[in-house]
Amino acid sequence: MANVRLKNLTKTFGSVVAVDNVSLDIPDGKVTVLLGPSGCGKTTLLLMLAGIYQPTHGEVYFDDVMVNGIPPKLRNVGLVFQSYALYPHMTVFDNIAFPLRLQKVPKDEIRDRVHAITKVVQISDLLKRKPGQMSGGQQQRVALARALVKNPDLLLLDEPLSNLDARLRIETRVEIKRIQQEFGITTVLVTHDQVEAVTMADNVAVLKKGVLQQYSPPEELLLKPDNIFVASFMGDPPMNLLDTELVVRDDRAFFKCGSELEIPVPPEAREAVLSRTGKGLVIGIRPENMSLKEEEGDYAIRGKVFMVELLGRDKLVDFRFGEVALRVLVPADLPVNTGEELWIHPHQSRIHLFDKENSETIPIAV
Amino acid sequence: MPKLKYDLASSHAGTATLVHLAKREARKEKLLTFFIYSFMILSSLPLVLGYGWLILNSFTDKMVYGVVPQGFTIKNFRFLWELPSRYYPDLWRTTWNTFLLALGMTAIMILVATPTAYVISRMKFPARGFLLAMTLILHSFPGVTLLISLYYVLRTLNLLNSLVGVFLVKAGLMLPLGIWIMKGFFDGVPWDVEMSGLVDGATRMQTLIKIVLPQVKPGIAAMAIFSFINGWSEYIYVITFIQTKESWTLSSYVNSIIGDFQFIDYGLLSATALFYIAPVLLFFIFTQKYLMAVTVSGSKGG
Repeated sequence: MANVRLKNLTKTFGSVVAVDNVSLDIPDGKVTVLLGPSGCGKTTLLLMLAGIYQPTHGEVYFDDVMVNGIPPKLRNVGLVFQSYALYPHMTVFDNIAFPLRLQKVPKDEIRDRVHAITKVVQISDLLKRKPGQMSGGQQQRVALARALVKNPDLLLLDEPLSNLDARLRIETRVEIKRIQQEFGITTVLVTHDQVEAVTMADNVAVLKKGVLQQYSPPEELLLKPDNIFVASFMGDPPMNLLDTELVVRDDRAFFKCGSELEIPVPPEAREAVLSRTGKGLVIGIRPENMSLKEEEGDYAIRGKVFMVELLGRDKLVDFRFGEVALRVLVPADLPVNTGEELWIHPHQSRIHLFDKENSETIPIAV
Repeated sequence: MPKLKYDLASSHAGTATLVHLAKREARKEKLLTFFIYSFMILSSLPLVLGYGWLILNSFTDKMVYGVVPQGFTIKNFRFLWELPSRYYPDLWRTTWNTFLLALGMTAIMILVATPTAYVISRMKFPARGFLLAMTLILHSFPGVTLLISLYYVLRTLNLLNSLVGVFLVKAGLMLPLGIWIMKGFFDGVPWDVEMSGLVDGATRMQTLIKIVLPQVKPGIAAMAIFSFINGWSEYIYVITFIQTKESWTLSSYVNSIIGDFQFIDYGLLSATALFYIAPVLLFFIFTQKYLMAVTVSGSKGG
């Protein structure tokens, strides 16, 4: 097992900067997820850990040993590709035995280790098949077994679930987590799916255009996003993000969004925001962090229901204030009708505020 | 009669119309198939008839009006055990020469085109695009236009009248095609698989040999067969560059029967021609499934 440290890691392809000055500490025995939209450099980062790509600048350390320039075969990492990348001309047994054969492990030991690992990933009955004769889920298990059989110090998973159907994905997610914990193996997983990231990660690194946006445990991404990108990328349905500026009237402060919406500033936040009067701000409230009531409250907003969308367990209620929309998530059994006027109660401690200029979070003392 | 489910009104007229329409579609399809087959049969008829004539002619005394066979004989095949005349070289030596040329073509295509194609497909190096373009241009030269200049080149190198000379010329002209075909196959092997090999502990060379090459085997097989047939049937360079009978190939042999200022023995001609094409035909029948891989090059069937 190993902990992995990236220091000022940069990778350019021609004039394209794929990974831009990323520094990360990947702790031993934990799952670290690299999360971001496609083309954000997460796979490039993974391939640099594997040793396939060499960084343009910066260093990669495994347990304080600099591994730049060390070829993949000497790094003892296991890698599972999105496409599984099984060797189509070999049987499952030969696929899994391949890394061991290259290490010149004795035959008997190869057989034992392959059998042991296939029991863990539950494909013992498929050893004689060829990859073309198996389902996606089975191929995925073979790829995982092939990565694990050499007892790697670091397990790298590139979008391991995205080629599976929804049901299988949930099963496999649990399975991978179980195997990871059983082996206590340091794991780096790349994904563009925030649900996958949040469910599997001990730590998540959010990337955008090669730049690290935030590195924190998954719950913090939702509760304390560092910037607008993280706030908008995480959460489903997405956070309401509204351009706003601070106005003070009758000794009360409001976030004025567009011409018709005024959100009262919670008293805890007044201190932090008053200095920003007249500056460009962005206010963010997640749809699930508001409730709808018939009764007025201290910091409630009166709104007229524009549209109601049923999302299964929940309902998304859409309010319009002129050109500005505000969406609120409520339980599906709450009776809400289009055209109805209701009070929207934002949960005061869940209001996020960002600087419009550099899109960074403005801390509100709560 | 089973009722159509969506025909809720159960109007008989509606059902009847649907059935009628379906029948008409089926008829149309049949007619189209008929035309396509007729066209294909008609257009391949000259070839089939040609081969038929060749076979019949080689086993008969004579053809009445040139088309009706009369009298079965194998005397046309006497060239197999005796020299037709003292002008001819030994048949088996000639066959051996032809075989050597074909085998040589196969070998050089596999040994040179495969690694070259891998490098072009997988590695970055200066002037890669230029090289690729040049290969294509080289292939598009009609070989005939080079005959005279090549003759001088070979004479200077003292390679006239030798199979090696013909072999080198052919290899030079065939390699570009082979490289392009193999590049297509290598392009079809996903990078992921190769990277997997590297991570699993293989060197670049081990990855090539153990992982990539097995996946382009159909391509190698197709190219090998193609080159073998191509070498076996080479005509123009052999006729032009080889005069000495010891170095003849079967195409010179057949050619000499037509062109030797003598009365043409059509029976002998057909028999030698049959002897010449039979191995290729047999070879093709057993290997055609590999050859087909070239036409679908790149897409790897399961």
